[in-house]
Amino acid sequence: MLMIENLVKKYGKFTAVNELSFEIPKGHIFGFVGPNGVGKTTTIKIIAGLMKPTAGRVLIEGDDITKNRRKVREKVGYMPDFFGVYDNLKVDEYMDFYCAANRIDVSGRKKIIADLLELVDLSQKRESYVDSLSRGMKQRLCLARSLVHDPAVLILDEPASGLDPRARIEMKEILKALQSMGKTILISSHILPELSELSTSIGIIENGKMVVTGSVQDIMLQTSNKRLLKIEVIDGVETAIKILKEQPAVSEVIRNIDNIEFGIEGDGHTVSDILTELVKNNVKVIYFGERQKNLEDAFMRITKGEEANEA
Amino acid sequence: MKLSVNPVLEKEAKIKMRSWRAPALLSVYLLFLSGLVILYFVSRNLDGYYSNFDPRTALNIYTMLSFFQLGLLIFIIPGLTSAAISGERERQTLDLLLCTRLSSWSVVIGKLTASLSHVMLLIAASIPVFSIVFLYGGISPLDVISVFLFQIVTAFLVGSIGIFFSSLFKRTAVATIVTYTVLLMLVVGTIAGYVFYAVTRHRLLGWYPSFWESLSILSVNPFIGLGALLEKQTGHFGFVSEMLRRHSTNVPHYIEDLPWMINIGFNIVLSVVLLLLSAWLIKPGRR
Ligand SMILES: Nc1ncnc2c1ncn2[C@@H]1O[C@H](COP(=O)(O)OP(=O)(O)O)[C@@H](O)[C@H]1O
Ligand SMILES: [Mg+2]
Repeated sequence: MLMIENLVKKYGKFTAVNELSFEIPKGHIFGFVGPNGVGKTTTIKIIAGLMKPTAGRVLIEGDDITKNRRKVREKVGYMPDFFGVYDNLKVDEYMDFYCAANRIDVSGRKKIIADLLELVDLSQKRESYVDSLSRGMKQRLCLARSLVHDPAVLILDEPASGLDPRARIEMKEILKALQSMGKTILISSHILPELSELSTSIGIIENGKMVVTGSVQDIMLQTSNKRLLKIEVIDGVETAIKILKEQPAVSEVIRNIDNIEFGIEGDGHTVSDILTELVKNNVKVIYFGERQKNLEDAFMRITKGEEANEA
Repeated sequence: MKLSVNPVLEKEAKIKMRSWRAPALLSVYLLFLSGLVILYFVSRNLDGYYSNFDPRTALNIYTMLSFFQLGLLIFIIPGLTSAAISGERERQTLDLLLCTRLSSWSVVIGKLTASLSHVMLLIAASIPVFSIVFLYGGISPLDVISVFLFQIVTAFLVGSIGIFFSSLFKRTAVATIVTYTVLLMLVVGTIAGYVFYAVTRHRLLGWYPSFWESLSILSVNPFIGLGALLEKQTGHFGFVSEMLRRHSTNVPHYIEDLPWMINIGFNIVLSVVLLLLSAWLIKPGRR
Protein backbone atom coordinates (compact mmCIF):
# COMPACT_ATOMS: atom_id res chain seq x y z
CA MET A 1 0.00 0.00 0.00
CA LEU A 2 2.51 2.61 1.19
CA MET A 3 6.08 1.82 0.27
CA ILE A 4 9.13 3.88 1.07
CA GLU A 5 12.17 2.98 -1.01
CA ASN A 6 15.72 4.10 -0.18
CA LEU A 7 14.56 7.53 0.83
CA VAL A 8 17.33 10.10 1.30
CA LYS A 9 16.95 13.70 2.40
CA LYS A 10 19.90 16.02 2.84
CA TYR A 11 19.78 19.50 4.31
CA GLY A 12 22.94 20.88 2.79
CA LYS A 13 25.63 18.46 3.89
CA PHE A 14 23.59 17.04 6.76
CA THR A 15 21.78 13.81 5.98
CA ALA A 16 18.51 13.77 7.90
CA VAL A 17 17.06 10.66 6.23
CA ASN A 18 19.50 8.03 5.05
CA GLU A 19 18.42 5.23 2.70
CA LEU A 20 15.20 4.66 4.60
CA SER A 21 12.95 1.85 3.42
CA PHE A 22 9.79 0.33 4.81
CA GLU A 23 6.37 -0.82 3.76
CA ILE A 24 2.94 -0.53 5.34
CA PRO A 25 0.33 -3.03 4.17
CA LYS A 26 -3.25 -1.86 3.69
CA GLY A 27 -5.21 -1.48 6.90
CA HIS A 28 -2.18 -1.52 9.15
CA ILE A 29 -1.24 1.03 11.75
CA PHE A 30 2.48 1.57 11.54
CA GLY A 31 4.23 3.09 14.53
CA PHE A 32 7.17 5.17 13.41
CA VAL A 33 9.33 5.50 16.48
CA GLY A 34 12.59 7.15 17.28
CA PRO A 35 14.13 9.77 19.54
CA ASN A 36 13.83 13.45 18.65
CA GLY A 37 15.71 14.69 15.62
CA VAL A 38 16.21 11.38 13.85
CA GLY A 39 14.24 12.30 10.73
CA LYS A 40 10.63 11.31 11.41
CA THR A 41 9.08 14.65 10.53
CA THR A 42 11.30 14.95 7.47
CA THR A 43 10.14 11.54 6.22
CA ILE A 44 6.51 12.42 6.89
CA LYS A 45 6.74 15.75 5.07
CA ILE A 46 8.15 13.95 2.05
CA ILE A 47 5.25 11.48 2.12
CA ALA A 48 2.82 14.40 2.42
CA GLY A 49 4.38 15.97 -0.66
CA LEU A 50 5.56 19.06 1.19
CA MET A 51 9.21 18.31 0.63
CA LYS A 52 11.23 16.82 -2.16
CA PRO A 53 13.47 13.84 -1.35
CA THR A 54 17.10 14.03 -2.35
CA ALA A 55 16.76 10.46 -3.59
CA GLY A 56 14.42 7.52 -3.30
CA ARG A 57 10.74 6.91 -3.92
CA VAL A 58 7.43 6.91 -2.08
CA LEU A 59 4.90 4.58 -3.66
CA ILE A 60 1.19 4.49 -2.95
CA GLU A 61 -0.57 1.63 -4.69
CA GLY A 62 2.39 1.50 -7.02
CA ASP A 63 2.40 5.19 -8.02
CA ASP A 64 5.45 7.25 -7.21
CA ILE A 65 3.91 10.21 -5.42
CA THR A 66 7.08 12.27 -5.41
CA LYS A 67 6.53 12.53 -9.18
CA ASN A 68 2.75 12.81 -9.09
CA ARG A 69 1.59 15.60 -6.81
CA ARG A 70 -2.04 15.06 -7.67
CA LYS A 71 -1.96 11.53 -6.32
CA VAL A 72 -0.61 12.69 -2.95
CA ARG A 73 -3.41 15.17 -2.57
CA GLU A 74 -6.02 12.54 -3.35
CA LYS A 75 -4.59 9.64 -1.41
CA VAL A 76 -2.88 11.13 1.62
CA GLY A 77 -4.36 12.75 4.68
CA TYR A 78 -1.76 14.56 6.74
CA MET A 79 -1.72 15.91 10.25
CA PRO A 80 1.43 17.87 11.11
CA ASP A 81 3.17 17.87 14.48
CA PHE A 82 2.49 21.56 14.92
CA PHE A 83 -0.46 23.28 13.35
CA GLY A 84 -2.66 26.29 13.86
CA VAL A 85 -6.27 27.25 13.33
CA TYR A 86 -7.88 30.45 12.14
CA ASP A 87 -9.52 32.98 14.43
CA ASN A 88 -13.09 33.94 13.75
CA LEU A 89 -14.03 30.67 12.12
CA LYS A 90 -16.57 28.20 13.47
CA VAL A 91 -15.96 24.46 13.56
CA ASP A 92 -18.31 23.64 10.68
CA GLU A 93 -17.00 26.57 8.64
CA TYR A 94 -13.48 25.34 9.25
CA MET A 95 -14.44 21.92 7.95
CA ASP A 96 -16.34 23.46 5.05
CA PHE A 97 -13.27 25.46 4.07
CA TYR A 98 -11.09 22.36 3.84
CA CYS A 99 -13.85 20.55 1.93
CA ALA A 100 -13.93 23.41 -0.55
CA ALA A 101 -10.13 23.42 -0.74
CA ASN A 102 -10.32 19.74 -1.63
CA ARG A 103 -12.87 20.47 -4.34
CA ILE A 104 -15.67 18.58 -2.67
CA ASP A 105 -19.11 19.48 -4.02
CA VAL A 106 -21.24 21.70 -1.84
CA SER A 107 -23.99 19.08 -1.94
CA GLY A 108 -21.75 16.36 -0.50
CA ARG A 109 -20.13 18.45 2.21
CA LYS A 110 -22.90 18.43 4.78
CA LYS A 111 -22.87 14.70 5.25
CA ILE A 112 -19.06 14.44 5.21
CA ILE A 113 -18.74 17.13 7.86
CA ALA A 114 -21.46 15.65 10.06
CA ASP A 115 -19.93 12.16 9.83
CA LEU A 116 -16.41 13.31 10.57
CA LEU A 117 -17.42 15.51 13.48
CA GLU A 118 -19.33 12.53 14.83
CA LEU A 119 -16.23 10.34 14.44
CA VAL A 120 -14.02 12.73 16.39
CA ASP A 121 -16.79 13.48 18.87
CA LEU A 122 -17.11 17.17 18.11
CA SER A 123 -20.71 17.22 16.89
CA GLN A 124 -21.68 19.32 19.90
CA LYS A 125 -19.10 21.93 18.96
CA ARG A 126 -20.22 22.69 15.41
CA GLU A 127 -21.12 26.25 16.26
CA SER A 128 -18.11 26.99 18.46
CA TYR A 129 -15.24 29.10 17.29
CA VAL A 130 -12.24 26.96 16.43
CA ASP A 131 -9.74 28.96 18.45
CA SER A 132 -11.85 28.50 21.60
CA LEU A 133 -11.43 24.70 21.53
CA SER A 134 -9.08 22.88 23.89
CA ARG A 135 -5.82 21.47 22.61
CA GLY A 136 -7.21 17.95 22.44
CA MET A 137 -10.30 19.12 20.56
CA LYS A 138 -8.20 21.07 18.08
CA GLN A 139 -6.15 17.95 17.53
CA ARG A 140 -9.28 15.92 16.83
CA LEU A 141 -10.64 18.64 14.57
CA CYS A 142 -7.39 18.70 12.64
CA LEU A 143 -7.66 14.93 12.28
CA ALA A 144 -11.20 15.29 10.95
CA ARG A 145 -9.95 17.96 8.56
CA SER A 146 -7.30 15.61 7.20
CA LEU A 147 -10.03 13.09 6.38
CA VAL A 148 -12.44 15.24 4.36
CA HIS A 149 -11.28 13.82 1.02
CA ASP A 150 -11.46 10.24 2.33
CA PRO A 151 -7.76 9.47 1.86
CA ALA A 152 -6.56 5.88 1.74
CA VAL A 153 -3.43 6.72 3.70
CA LEU A 154 -3.31 8.78 6.86
CA ILE A 155 -0.04 10.09 8.25
CA LEU A 156 0.03 11.61 11.69
CA ASP A 157 3.11 13.33 13.08
CA GLU A 158 3.26 12.95 16.87
CA PRO A 159 -0.52 13.07 17.30
CA ALA A 160 -0.36 12.28 21.01
CA SER A 161 2.26 14.80 22.05
CA GLY A 162 0.96 17.55 24.29
CA LEU A 163 -2.27 15.71 25.04
CA ASP A 164 -3.43 14.75 28.49
CA PRO A 165 -4.00 11.03 29.15
CA ARG A 166 -7.74 11.27 28.58
CA ALA A 167 -7.31 13.01 25.25
CA ARG A 168 -4.79 10.35 24.27
CA ILE A 169 -7.24 7.58 24.94
CA GLU A 170 -9.84 9.37 22.84
CA MET A 171 -7.33 9.74 20.05
CA LYS A 172 -6.59 6.03 20.26
CA GLU A 173 -10.27 5.15 19.99
CA ILE A 174 -10.59 7.28 16.87
CA LEU A 175 -7.55 5.71 15.26
CA LYS A 176 -8.88 2.23 15.95
CA ALA A 177 -12.15 3.21 14.31
CA LEU A 178 -10.25 4.51 11.30
CA GLN A 179 -8.28 1.29 11.06
CA SER A 180 -11.50 -0.68 11.01
CA MET A 181 -12.59 1.54 8.10
CA GLY A 182 -9.64 0.19 6.15
CA LYS A 183 -7.33 3.19 6.34
CA THR A 184 -3.61 2.65 6.24
CA ILE A 185 -2.11 4.72 9.03
CA LEU A 186 1.37 5.90 9.93
CA ILE A 187 1.87 7.45 13.36
CA SER A 188 5.13 8.86 14.57
CA SER A 189 6.12 9.22 18.17
CA HIS A 190 9.20 9.47 20.30
CA ILE A 191 7.40 7.66 23.09
CA LEU A 192 7.14 3.91 22.68
CA PRO A 193 4.39 2.77 25.03
CA GLU A 194 2.03 5.12 23.22
CA LEU A 195 2.39 3.06 20.09
CA SER A 196 2.88 -0.47 21.35
CA GLU A 197 -0.80 -0.96 22.16
CA LEU A 198 -2.08 0.68 19.04
CA SER A 199 0.22 -0.29 16.22
CA THR A 200 0.05 -3.44 14.19
CA SER A 201 3.68 -2.98 13.25
CA ILE A 202 6.49 -0.78 14.34
CA GLY A 203 9.62 0.66 12.81
CA ILE A 204 12.37 2.11 14.91
CA ILE A 205 14.38 4.83 13.23
CA GLU A 206 17.69 6.18 14.36
CA ASN A 207 19.86 8.76 12.62
CA GLY A 208 17.76 8.63 9.48
CA LYS A 209 17.94 4.84 9.19
CA MET A 210 15.43 2.15 10.02
CA VAL A 211 16.96 -0.03 12.70
CA VAL A 212 14.23 -2.67 13.00
CA THR A 213 10.76 -3.18 11.64
CA GLY A 214 8.15 -5.77 12.39
CA SER A 215 5.23 -6.53 14.63
CA VAL A 216 5.53 -5.63 18.28
CA GLN A 217 6.16 -9.31 19.17
CA ASP A 218 8.66 -9.70 16.33
CA ILE A 219 10.68 -6.78 17.55
CA MET A 220 10.85 -8.13 21.06
CA LEU A 221 11.98 -11.49 19.74
CA GLN A 222 14.51 -9.92 17.42
CA THR A 223 16.04 -7.81 20.07
CA SER A 224 16.42 -10.51 22.67
CA ASN A 225 15.73 -14.17 23.25
CA LYS A 226 16.25 -13.78 26.99
CA ARG A 227 13.55 -13.74 29.57
CA LEU A 228 13.55 -11.01 32.15
CA LEU A 229 13.04 -12.08 35.74
CA LYS A 230 12.39 -10.00 38.77
CA ILE A 231 12.85 -11.04 42.40
CA GLU A 232 12.15 -9.33 45.65
CA VAL A 233 13.86 -10.38 48.85
CA ILE A 234 13.52 -9.12 52.41
CA ASP A 235 16.90 -10.42 53.50
CA GLY A 236 20.14 -11.48 51.83
CA VAL A 237 20.27 -9.11 48.89
CA GLU A 238 24.05 -9.30 48.67
CA THR A 239 24.02 -13.11 48.75
CA ALA A 240 21.30 -13.18 46.12
CA ILE A 241 23.28 -10.98 43.76
CA LYS A 242 26.42 -13.01 44.33
CA ILE A 243 24.59 -16.27 43.55
CA LEU A 244 22.91 -14.85 40.48
CA LYS A 245 26.18 -13.60 39.07
CA GLU A 246 27.69 -17.05 39.46
CA GLN A 247 25.04 -18.71 37.28
CA PRO A 248 26.14 -19.20 33.66
CA ALA A 249 22.56 -18.78 32.34
CA VAL A 250 22.08 -15.41 34.07
CA SER A 251 23.17 -12.07 32.69
CA GLU A 252 22.59 -8.38 33.27
CA VAL A 253 21.88 -8.48 36.98
CA ILE A 254 20.47 -5.10 37.97
CA ARG A 255 19.92 -4.10 41.57
CA ASN A 256 16.97 -1.77 41.96
CA ILE A 257 15.76 -0.10 45.14
CA ASP A 258 13.33 -2.83 46.15
CA ASN A 259 14.03 -5.62 43.68
CA ILE A 260 16.60 -7.34 41.51
CA GLU A 261 16.20 -7.82 37.80
CA PHE A 262 18.13 -10.17 35.59
CA GLY A 263 18.01 -11.80 32.21
CA ILE A 264 18.04 -15.54 31.82
CA GLU A 265 18.57 -17.92 28.93
CA GLY A 266 17.03 -21.34 29.26
CA ASP A 267 13.81 -23.18 30.02
CA GLY A 268 11.65 -23.60 33.11
CA HIS A 269 14.14 -25.98 34.74
CA THR A 270 16.88 -23.39 34.64
CA VAL A 271 14.54 -20.86 36.24
CA SER A 272 13.41 -23.24 38.96
CA ASP A 273 17.02 -24.30 39.72
CA ILE A 274 17.92 -20.70 40.37
CA LEU A 275 15.06 -20.26 42.83
CA THR A 276 16.11 -23.45 44.64
CA GLU A 277 19.68 -22.21 44.83
CA LEU A 278 18.61 -18.89 46.32
CA VAL A 279 16.37 -20.49 48.94
CA LYS A 280 19.07 -23.06 49.84
CA ASN A 281 21.39 -20.16 50.64
CA ASN A 282 18.91 -18.57 53.04
CA VAL A 283 17.86 -15.72 50.80
CA LYS A 284 14.36 -14.70 51.93
CA VAL A 285 12.51 -14.51 48.62
CA ILE A 286 9.08 -12.90 48.74
CA TYR A 287 8.56 -12.51 45.02
CA PHE A 288 9.91 -14.38 42.07
CA GLY A 289 8.43 -13.80 38.65
CA GLU A 290 8.85 -13.02 35.02
CA ARG A 291 8.75 -9.37 34.13
CA GLN A 292 6.67 -8.55 31.08
CA LYS A 293 9.08 -7.19 28.52
CA ASN A 294 7.78 -4.09 26.86
CA LEU A 295 8.85 -2.20 23.83
CA GLU A 296 10.81 0.26 25.83
CA ASP A 297 13.29 -2.48 26.71
CA ALA A 298 13.66 -3.27 23.05
CA PHE A 299 14.02 0.38 22.25
CA MET A 300 16.68 0.94 24.86
CA ARG A 301 18.54 -2.18 23.79
CA ILE A 302 18.49 -1.20 20.12
CA THR A 303 19.55 2.37 20.56
CA LYS A 304 22.28 1.33 22.98
CA GLY A 305 23.52 -1.19 20.44
CA GLU A 306 23.83 1.50 17.83
CA GLU A 307 25.94 3.71 20.03
CA ALA A 308 28.19 0.79 20.86
CA ASN A 309 28.75 0.08 17.19
CA GLU A 310 29.68 3.67 16.49
CA ALA A 311 32.13 3.90 19.34
CA MET B 1 -19.60 24.44 -15.78
CA LYS B 2 -20.44 25.53 -12.30
CA LEU B 3 -18.99 28.79 -11.15
CA SER B 4 -17.30 28.39 -7.80
CA VAL B 5 -15.76 30.98 -5.56
CA ASN B 6 -12.11 30.55 -4.66
CA PRO B 7 -12.25 28.86 -1.21
CA VAL B 8 -9.43 31.03 0.12
CA LEU B 9 -11.31 34.17 -0.92
CA GLU B 10 -14.47 32.92 0.77
CA LYS B 11 -12.64 32.07 3.99
CA GLU B 12 -10.73 35.36 4.06
CA ALA B 13 -13.90 37.35 3.50
CA LYS B 14 -15.66 35.53 6.34
CA ILE B 15 -12.78 36.05 8.75
CA LYS B 16 -12.20 39.65 7.73
CA MET B 17 -15.77 40.75 8.06
CA ARG B 18 -16.01 39.21 11.53
CA SER B 19 -13.00 40.94 12.95
CA TRP B 20 -13.27 44.40 14.41
CA ARG B 21 -10.61 45.62 12.00
CA ALA B 22 -12.80 45.81 8.90
CA PRO B 23 -15.40 48.24 10.25
CA ALA B 24 -12.70 50.20 12.06
CA LEU B 25 -10.71 50.59 8.86
CA LEU B 26 -13.80 51.60 6.92
CA SER B 27 -14.75 54.26 9.48
CA VAL B 28 -11.27 55.75 9.66
CA TYR B 29 -11.04 55.69 5.89
CA LEU B 30 -14.28 57.62 5.42
CA LEU B 31 -13.33 59.98 8.22
CA PHE B 32 -10.14 60.89 6.38
CA LEU B 33 -11.87 61.40 3.03
CA SER B 34 -14.73 63.51 4.34
CA GLY B 35 -12.32 65.35 6.64
CA LEU B 36 -10.38 66.39 3.57
CA VAL B 37 -13.50 67.82 1.91
CA ILE B 38 -14.48 69.68 5.07
CA LEU B 39 -10.97 71.08 5.40
CA TYR B 40 -11.16 72.31 1.84
CA PHE B 41 -14.36 74.27 2.47
CA VAL B 42 -13.16 75.60 5.80
CA SER B 43 -9.94 76.88 4.29
CA ARG B 44 -11.84 78.62 1.51
CA ASN B 45 -14.12 80.34 4.02
CA LEU B 46 -11.07 81.47 5.99
CA ASP B 47 -9.74 83.00 2.80
CA GLY B 48 -12.93 85.05 2.74
CA TYR B 49 -13.73 83.61 -0.62
CA TYR B 50 -17.49 83.25 -0.87
CA SER B 51 -18.71 81.83 -4.03
CA ASN B 52 -21.21 79.08 -3.68
CA PHE B 53 -21.18 78.18 -7.28
CA ASP B 54 -17.72 78.10 -8.67
CA PRO B 55 -17.25 75.20 -11.14
CA ARG B 56 -13.58 75.09 -10.17
CA THR B 57 -14.63 73.95 -6.69
CA ALA B 58 -15.80 70.68 -8.12
CA LEU B 59 -12.64 70.14 -10.12
CA ASN B 60 -10.41 70.98 -7.16
CA ILE B 61 -12.24 68.69 -4.78
CA TYR B 62 -12.36 65.93 -7.34
CA THR B 63 -8.63 66.11 -8.07
CA MET B 64 -7.77 66.31 -4.40
CA LEU B 65 -10.02 63.42 -3.43
CA SER B 66 -8.71 61.23 -6.22
CA PHE B 67 -5.07 61.77 -5.28
CA PHE B 68 -5.81 61.42 -1.59
CA GLN B 69 -7.75 58.21 -2.11
CA LEU B 70 -4.88 56.76 -4.14
CA GLY B 71 -2.45 57.68 -1.37
CA LEU B 72 -4.66 56.16 1.31
CA LEU B 73 -5.05 52.95 -0.65
CA ILE B 74 -1.31 52.63 -1.27
CA PHE B 75 -0.81 53.13 2.44
CA ILE B 76 -3.51 50.64 3.52
CA ILE B 77 -3.01 47.75 1.09
CA PRO B 78 0.34 46.49 2.46
CA GLY B 79 -1.49 46.03 5.76
CA LEU B 80 -4.02 43.84 3.97
CA THR B 81 -1.55 41.77 1.97
CA SER B 82 1.89 41.53 3.51
CA ALA B 83 0.62 38.98 6.04
CA ALA B 84 -1.20 37.01 3.34
CA ILE B 85 1.26 34.13 3.09
CA SER B 86 3.68 34.77 5.94
CA GLY B 87 0.71 35.04 8.31
CA GLU B 88 -0.44 31.54 7.33
CA ARG B 89 3.12 30.36 7.81
CA GLU B 90 3.45 31.97 11.24
CA ARG B 91 0.08 30.59 12.24
CA GLN B 92 1.15 27.14 10.99
CA THR B 93 -1.77 26.77 8.64
CA LEU B 94 0.13 27.11 5.36
CA ASP B 95 1.13 23.44 5.14
CA LEU B 96 -2.47 22.42 5.77
CA LEU B 97 -3.56 24.65 2.92
CA LEU B 98 -0.88 23.41 0.54
CA CYS B 99 -1.79 19.77 1.23
CA THR B 100 -5.24 20.29 -0.22
CA ARG B 101 -6.10 20.18 -3.88
CA LEU B 102 -5.76 23.94 -4.14
CA SER B 103 -2.84 24.91 -6.34
CA SER B 104 -0.37 27.42 -4.98
CA TRP B 105 -1.62 29.74 -7.73
CA SER B 106 -5.20 29.51 -6.39
CA VAL B 107 -3.93 30.28 -2.90
CA VAL B 108 -2.13 33.39 -4.16
CA ILE B 109 -5.11 34.51 -6.26
CA GLY B 110 -7.51 33.87 -3.39
CA LYS B 111 -5.42 36.03 -1.10
CA LEU B 112 -5.14 38.79 -3.70
CA THR B 113 -8.82 38.86 -4.61
CA ALA B 114 -9.70 38.94 -0.92
CA SER B 115 -7.68 42.10 -0.38
CA LEU B 116 -8.84 43.62 -3.67
CA SER B 117 -12.45 43.03 -2.63
CA HIS B 118 -11.68 44.85 0.57
CA VAL B 119 -10.21 47.71 -1.46
CA MET B 120 -13.28 47.79 -3.68
CA LEU B 121 -15.45 47.98 -0.60
CA LEU B 122 -13.52 51.04 0.55
CA ILE B 123 -13.77 52.62 -2.89
CA ALA B 124 -17.51 51.90 -3.06
CA ALA B 125 -17.94 53.47 0.37
CA SER B 126 -16.23 56.61 -0.92
CA ILE B 127 -18.93 57.16 -3.57
CA PRO B 128 -21.08 59.42 -1.33
CA VAL B 129 -18.05 61.61 -0.63
CA PHE B 130 -17.18 61.77 -4.32
CA SER B 131 -20.76 62.59 -5.26
CA ILE B 132 -20.26 66.09 -3.82
CA VAL B 133 -18.57 66.97 -7.08
CA PHE B 134 -21.70 66.10 -9.04
CA LEU B 135 -23.49 68.95 -7.25
CA TYR B 136 -21.28 71.34 -9.12
CA GLY B 137 -21.19 69.64 -12.48
CA GLY B 138 -18.22 69.41 -14.79
CA ILE B 139 -17.37 65.85 -13.81
CA SER B 140 -19.35 62.92 -15.12
CA PRO B 141 -19.95 59.63 -13.30
CA LEU B 142 -17.96 57.99 -16.07
CA ASP B 143 -14.93 60.11 -15.11
CA VAL B 144 -15.23 58.98 -11.51
CA ILE B 145 -15.56 55.36 -12.58
CA SER B 146 -12.39 55.65 -14.72
CA VAL B 147 -10.50 57.05 -11.75
CA PHE B 148 -11.80 54.20 -9.56
CA LEU B 149 -10.74 51.65 -12.17
CA PHE B 150 -7.31 53.24 -12.34
CA GLN B 151 -7.05 53.03 -8.56
CA ILE B 152 -8.07 49.39 -8.60
CA VAL B 153 -5.31 48.62 -11.09
CA THR B 154 -2.85 50.40 -8.79
CA ALA B 155 -4.24 48.37 -5.88
CA PHE B 156 -3.64 45.24 -7.95
CA LEU B 157 0.07 46.09 -8.19
CA VAL B 158 0.44 47.20 -4.57
CA GLY B 159 -1.36 44.04 -3.42
CA SER B 160 0.85 41.85 -5.60
CA ILE B 161 3.97 43.47 -4.18
CA GLY B 162 2.73 42.75 -0.65
CA ILE B 163 1.89 39.14 -1.47
CA PHE B 164 5.21 38.62 -3.21
CA PHE B 165 7.23 39.74 -0.19
CA SER B 166 4.88 37.82 2.07
CA SER B 167 5.77 34.67 0.13
CA LEU B 168 9.46 35.50 -0.02
CA PHE B 169 10.04 36.31 3.64
CA LYS B 170 9.17 34.01 6.53
CA ARG B 171 8.16 36.82 8.82
CA THR B 172 5.29 39.25 8.32
CA ALA B 173 7.17 42.13 9.94
CA VAL B 174 9.98 41.85 7.40
CA ALA B 175 7.54 41.52 4.51
CA THR B 176 5.68 44.65 5.65
CA ILE B 177 8.79 46.77 5.99
CA VAL B 178 10.19 45.71 2.63
CA THR B 179 6.82 46.31 0.93
CA TYR B 180 6.60 49.86 2.26
CA THR B 181 10.19 50.52 1.24
CA VAL B 182 9.53 49.38 -2.32
CA LEU B 183 6.36 51.50 -2.48
CA LEU B 184 8.25 54.52 -1.23
CA MET B 185 10.75 53.98 -4.02
CA LEU B 186 7.91 53.66 -6.53
CA VAL B 187 6.14 56.82 -5.39
CA VAL B 188 8.88 59.15 -4.18
CA GLY B 189 11.97 57.43 -5.53
CA THR B 190 10.95 57.64 -9.19
CA ILE B 191 10.34 61.38 -9.03
CA ALA B 192 13.38 62.17 -6.88
CA GLY B 193 15.52 59.88 -9.02
CA TYR B 194 14.22 61.49 -12.17
CA VAL B 195 14.92 65.02 -10.93
CA PHE B 196 18.40 64.02 -9.82
CA TYR B 197 19.07 62.35 -13.15
CA ALA B 198 17.77 65.32 -15.15
CA VAL B 199 19.74 67.91 -13.18
CA THR B 200 22.97 65.94 -13.20
CA ARG B 201 22.66 65.27 -16.87
CA HIS B 202 21.98 68.89 -17.64
CA ARG B 203 25.02 69.94 -15.69
CA LEU B 204 27.33 67.39 -17.24
CA LEU B 205 26.08 67.15 -20.80
CA GLY B 206 24.13 70.31 -21.24
CA TRP B 207 20.79 68.81 -22.10
CA TYR B 208 17.81 67.31 -20.30
CA PRO B 209 16.49 63.77 -20.72
CA SER B 210 14.47 63.19 -23.85
CA PHE B 211 10.70 63.01 -23.80
CA TRP B 212 10.66 59.25 -24.12
CA GLU B 213 13.20 58.84 -21.34
CA SER B 214 11.17 61.09 -19.06
CA LEU B 215 8.00 59.32 -19.99
CA SER B 216 9.33 55.84 -19.25
CA ILE B 217 10.83 56.82 -15.90
CA LEU B 218 7.91 58.87 -14.63
CA SER B 219 5.03 56.76 -15.91
CA VAL B 220 5.71 53.90 -13.52
CA ASN B 221 4.69 56.27 -10.73
CA PRO B 222 0.99 55.78 -9.95
CA PHE B 223 0.52 59.44 -9.02
CA ILE B 224 1.88 60.57 -12.39
CA GLY B 225 -0.46 58.13 -14.10
CA LEU B 226 -3.45 59.37 -12.12
CA GLY B 227 -2.35 62.98 -12.70
CA ALA B 228 -2.36 62.44 -16.43
CA LEU B 229 -5.82 60.88 -16.28
CA LEU B 230 -7.20 63.76 -14.18
CA GLU B 231 -5.66 66.38 -16.47
CA LYS B 232 -7.37 64.83 -19.42
CA GLN B 233 -10.70 64.70 -17.56
CA THR B 234 -10.63 68.20 -16.09
CA GLY B 235 -8.63 70.00 -18.77
CA HIS B 236 -6.85 71.83 -15.95
CA PHE B 237 -3.60 71.55 -14.04
CA GLY B 238 -1.08 70.58 -16.64
CA PHE B 239 1.70 69.55 -14.30
CA VAL B 240 2.24 66.08 -15.72
CA SER B 241 2.23 67.11 -19.35
CA GLU B 242 4.26 70.16 -18.44
CA MET B 243 6.87 68.12 -16.70
CA LEU B 244 7.13 65.87 -19.72
CA ARG B 245 7.12 68.73 -22.21
CA ARG B 246 9.32 71.13 -20.33
CA HIS B 247 12.65 70.03 -21.58
CA SER B 248 11.70 68.21 -24.68
CA THR B 249 10.85 69.30 -28.16
CA ASN B 250 8.85 67.32 -30.67
CA VAL B 251 6.27 66.17 -28.18
CA PRO B 252 3.44 64.25 -29.79
CA HIS B 253 -0.03 65.65 -29.14
CA TYR B 254 -1.49 62.41 -27.76
CA ILE B 255 0.82 62.81 -24.79
CA GLU B 256 -1.98 63.31 -22.23
CA ASP B 257 -3.02 59.69 -22.45
CA LEU B 258 0.40 58.11 -22.49
CA PRO B 259 1.41 58.29 -18.82
CA TRP B 260 -1.73 56.62 -17.47
CA MET B 261 -1.83 54.04 -20.22
CA ILE B 262 1.81 53.13 -19.66
CA ASN B 263 1.21 53.07 -15.92
CA ILE B 264 -1.71 50.67 -16.25
CA GLY B 265 0.27 48.39 -18.57
CA PHE B 266 3.26 48.45 -16.25
CA ASN B 267 1.10 47.67 -13.21
CA ILE B 268 -0.60 44.73 -14.83
CA VAL B 269 2.55 43.16 -16.27
CA LEU B 270 4.56 43.56 -13.05
CA SER B 271 1.64 42.26 -10.94
CA VAL B 272 1.27 39.12 -13.00
CA VAL B 273 5.02 38.47 -12.82
CA LEU B 274 5.02 38.97 -9.03
CA LEU B 275 2.00 36.70 -8.57
CA LEU B 276 3.56 33.94 -10.66
CA LEU B 277 6.75 34.24 -8.62
CA SER B 278 4.73 34.10 -5.38
CA ALA B 279 2.97 30.93 -6.50
CA TRP B 280 6.33 29.40 -7.40
CA LEU B 281 7.82 30.40 -4.05
CA ILE B 282 5.14 28.66 -2.00
CA LYS B 283 4.84 25.60 -4.24
CA PRO B 284 5.00 22.58 -1.91
CA GLY B 285 7.86 20.17 -2.47
CA ARG B 286 9.94 22.81 -4.22
CA ARG B 287 12.80 22.07 -1.83
N1 LIG C 1 14.67 22.64 7.33
C1 LIG C 1 15.73 22.06 7.92
N2 LIG C 1 16.99 22.47 7.65
C2 LIG C 1 18.05 21.88 8.21
N3 LIG C 1 17.99 20.86 9.07
C3 LIG C 1 16.78 20.39 9.38
C4 LIG C 1 15.59 20.96 8.82
N4 LIG C 1 14.53 20.28 9.30
C5 LIG C 1 15.03 19.34 10.14
N5 LIG C 1 16.37 19.40 10.18
C6 LIG C 1 17.25 18.50 10.94
O1 LIG C 1 17.05 17.19 10.47
C7 LIG C 1 17.02 16.27 11.54
C8 LIG C 1 15.74 15.50 11.54
O2 LIG C 1 14.68 16.34 11.91
P1 LIG C 1 13.18 15.86 12.01
O3 LIG C 1 12.82 15.16 10.75
O4 LIG C 1 12.36 17.01 12.40
O5 LIG C 1 13.28 14.82 13.21
P2 LIG C 1 12.14 14.20 14.15
O6 LIG C 1 10.82 14.52 13.57
O7 LIG C 1 12.44 12.74 14.15
O8 LIG C 1 12.33 14.78 15.50
C9 LIG C 1 17.24 17.08 12.81
O9 LIG C 1 18.58 16.96 13.20
C10 LIG C 1 16.91 18.49 12.41
O10 LIG C 1 17.71 19.40 13.13
MG1 LIG D 1 9.26 15.55 14.53
